[in-house]
Amino acid sequence: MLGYHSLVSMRIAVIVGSLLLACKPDVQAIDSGESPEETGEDTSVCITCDAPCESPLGVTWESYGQGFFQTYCNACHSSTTEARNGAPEGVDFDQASLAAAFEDRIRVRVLEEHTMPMGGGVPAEDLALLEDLLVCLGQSEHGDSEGSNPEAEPQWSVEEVVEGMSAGLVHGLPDPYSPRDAFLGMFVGRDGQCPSDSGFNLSGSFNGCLSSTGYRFAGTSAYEGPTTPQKGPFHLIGDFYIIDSQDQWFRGGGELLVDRVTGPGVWPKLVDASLLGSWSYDGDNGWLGGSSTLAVWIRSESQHTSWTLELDGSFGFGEHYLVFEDLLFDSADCGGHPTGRLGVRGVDGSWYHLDFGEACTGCGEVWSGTTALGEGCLDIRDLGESLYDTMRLHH
Amino acid sequence: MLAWIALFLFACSGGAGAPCMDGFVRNASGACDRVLEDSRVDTAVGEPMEEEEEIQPVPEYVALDAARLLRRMSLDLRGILPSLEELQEVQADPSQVDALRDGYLEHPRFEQRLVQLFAEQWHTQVDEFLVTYREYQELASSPGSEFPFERAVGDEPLRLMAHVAANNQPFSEILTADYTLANEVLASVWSLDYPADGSGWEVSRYTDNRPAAGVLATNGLWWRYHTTVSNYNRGRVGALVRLLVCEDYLARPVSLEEAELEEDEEVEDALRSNPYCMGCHSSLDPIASALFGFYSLNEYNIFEIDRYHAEREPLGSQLLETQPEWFGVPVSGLAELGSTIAQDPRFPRCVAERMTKGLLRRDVELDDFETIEVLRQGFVDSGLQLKALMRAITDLPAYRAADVSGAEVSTLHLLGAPRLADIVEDLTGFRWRHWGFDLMTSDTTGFRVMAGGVDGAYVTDPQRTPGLTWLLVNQRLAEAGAVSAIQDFGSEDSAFFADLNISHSPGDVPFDRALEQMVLRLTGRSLEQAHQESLIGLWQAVRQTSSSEEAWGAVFAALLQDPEVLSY
Repeated sequence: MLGYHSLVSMRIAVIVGSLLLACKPDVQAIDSGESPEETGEDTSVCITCDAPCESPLGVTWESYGQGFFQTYCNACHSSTTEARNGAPEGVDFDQASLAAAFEDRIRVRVLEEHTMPMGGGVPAEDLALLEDLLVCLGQSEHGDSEGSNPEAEPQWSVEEVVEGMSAGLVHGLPDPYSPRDAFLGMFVGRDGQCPSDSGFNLSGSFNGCLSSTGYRFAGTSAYEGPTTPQKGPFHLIGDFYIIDSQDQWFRGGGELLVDRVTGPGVWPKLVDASLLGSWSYDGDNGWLGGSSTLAVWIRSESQHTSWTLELDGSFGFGEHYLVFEDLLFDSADCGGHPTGRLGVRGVDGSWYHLDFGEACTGCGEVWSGTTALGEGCLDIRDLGESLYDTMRLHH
Repeated sequence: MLAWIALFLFACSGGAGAPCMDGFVRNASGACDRVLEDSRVDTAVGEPMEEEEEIQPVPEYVALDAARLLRRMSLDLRGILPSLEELQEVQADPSQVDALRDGYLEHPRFEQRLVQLFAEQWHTQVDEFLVTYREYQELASSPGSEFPFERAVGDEPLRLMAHVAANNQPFSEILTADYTLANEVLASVWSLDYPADGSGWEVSRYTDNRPAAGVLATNGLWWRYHTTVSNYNRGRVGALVRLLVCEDYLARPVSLEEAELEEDEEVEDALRSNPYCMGCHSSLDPIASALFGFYSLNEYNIFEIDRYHAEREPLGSQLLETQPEWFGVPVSGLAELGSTIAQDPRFPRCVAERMTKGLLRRDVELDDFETIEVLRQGFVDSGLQLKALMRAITDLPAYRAADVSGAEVSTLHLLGAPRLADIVEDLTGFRWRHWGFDLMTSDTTGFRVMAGGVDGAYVTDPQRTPGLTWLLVNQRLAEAGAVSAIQDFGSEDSAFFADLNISHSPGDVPFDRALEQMVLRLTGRSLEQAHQESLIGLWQAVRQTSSSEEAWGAVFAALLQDPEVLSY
């Protein structure tokens, strides 16, 4: 915490150690999760001290202890955390009284055995201050504070959640070919000198070049794949903008990829795609025209008589923000309805989720955090099938 | 230099001012002494401890005289020297120091000075970001935009913090504000509702639906502390935790060699299962999970990093496999992360540490623990008013000290970039610029680091002792400032030479008075005879071959390089 000198800390450790010998009872196992109360050991009374407890440095819960436990322990040992990483239930240090109940085991694990925190990682200076804190922690009165944030009241109704999702998907699910095709289409504006590359690679010039047709090409791109708008594996990396002769911007920042996972004649036929970054074109009437940004991963799988399409990631279309969590369209098992979850960001900045579950009805529980708002329905079968058709490649 | 300075020390003449904060009492010299509790007594037995002789002695501070103390306060709180009238006022009545100090806290330059103080530790005033001004059509055709663009980006979070403090808002607002500070440059390239009739730095709001999280929602902070696609904001968390609660993951003594990863073990898996990794990542990753609105998929692309990606907020829990938390406290997102940090008891303590470091011009050490705790408590009691904290720090004996015994700490502070530039500009109107760059606050074509400043990337602490390049830059700056100063020689607008004409020479009342006032203004000390004789000797030597104005310019330039001027 502070930039302390280790020599000074060692000196303090000697002082504190002598006090500990005078004041503290023995210790017990923390690993079992047993509290001192459960083992009958009294740690609340300093057995040899008559005067009010004072430590050499005067370190208190308020001045240091609370911060120490937050820094090194509470990520796992907190009554509020959702990621205990194996920490025994009930062994928590986010309140002074809780930490005081385990002060002996804290001393053993942190100060003596150095087996906590996991992997070590407490500088000697902080160990010295912890040692000072533990001298009196059990004998001090502490006002425990609230440590958790109350969950916000939902601002949207189920209907508004569904409306928000529909608005974000008004032009369908994002596909990798729309930005790729728009990108290739921009090169109709090139002339012999601008851009200088005869392919679809931009040179990296910040200001770019202005072609005789009125197109400006600026930035960097690298493209591999079909040079005409046809389906098939491709890879486009970009950090560029292209302005067409109508002063419409094509913005590219990130990566687009379509990859055939399985070879010809192999079933099932798998195609992976990823749409990462900011891709938009002012002249597009679909989702690409909505100042869109994406981090979407798609897998399509074709069987002889059925198909599946899985989406993960997030999609921003204008001011509509969606997240796909294991969203799986399955033509055979679910009639094309999705399973998994679709999320939308509300106007208040909080997130709402429609959990399609396994019902295969297009309906499911709508959630705001851990609060269930009721059942909502959103039929996006057509969107899933349409994207699958776009993704499907003839092997 | 210390010995030279010591010759000019006067006895303490500080006066009784406002009451000191809890834990301190005002001493006879006007400084607030810490009330020391005798911690060397074993409370269990009531006897002195055997290790008593190992306890360091309590530092005994020799206080600055009132004029030099006022000079220190003015430089720390405004970045410029006190006026002649202010210095004369405290020479006549040392008790006025505190009142003048309080006035400095309300001075128009206070906010700009805070920007400098924050910059020393937040390190956002870098000369290069991952994108340049040339990537913006609005700026690309104007090479003079380079420095204003870079500095505006880096200043954004600093300006926000300075605005909060200067306008008496609780300092926690730096983590909860629904606004930022922007100027014309930022408004021309980012999505901001900058006022149509605005000029300079104005309160503005982003229009890309980013949450209200103060500095945590500024492009400037995250451009400086950028992340890569595979780092998932983890590096940013390291900076955030260090800046806001003074914890440093990189300082933890963890031996990664002992982690012993299995040959085929994925690093991402190890971070969630290997104890040596989890020691840090159990708290680090949940914080990173809350920052994904600023997660870019191409950190070199302006469309990716200009904009807050609200749709990516939930990606953190997908990619890091952990929900957003702040050290065990679940948070719903960036806005709640900010408000939760603001409630963290480490936050006010960290602010107290950082401001103490900035004003004492030294690291905070173990021996300062109790002092910092008292400052923290006072800061909290004030409603997190940064001015109250800074007032309390400037009351400390350590702050008001000219010298100290019983502790190995510096009480003499070095002036360097950027304050030297501000001082010279304030005194002479001269600002060292070239091709749009402010040379004393930048390094690409300037001299900031050479002059003792912080570039935020390679040099992260201000220079504390004199050095060769610092001296050379100061020499050139002083000479240029002197040329500017004598340009209005004899005019009533001249700061130093209004009552002079070319016929005045040593012994003439206007000449002698101008010299006395110049020395007092620049050094905070009255002119002593020996010093007067040496300065007159310099004036006469130059006058033999040059004009009277040039002789005064030589004296002025020499004084600007005087250790008494370059230290405080």
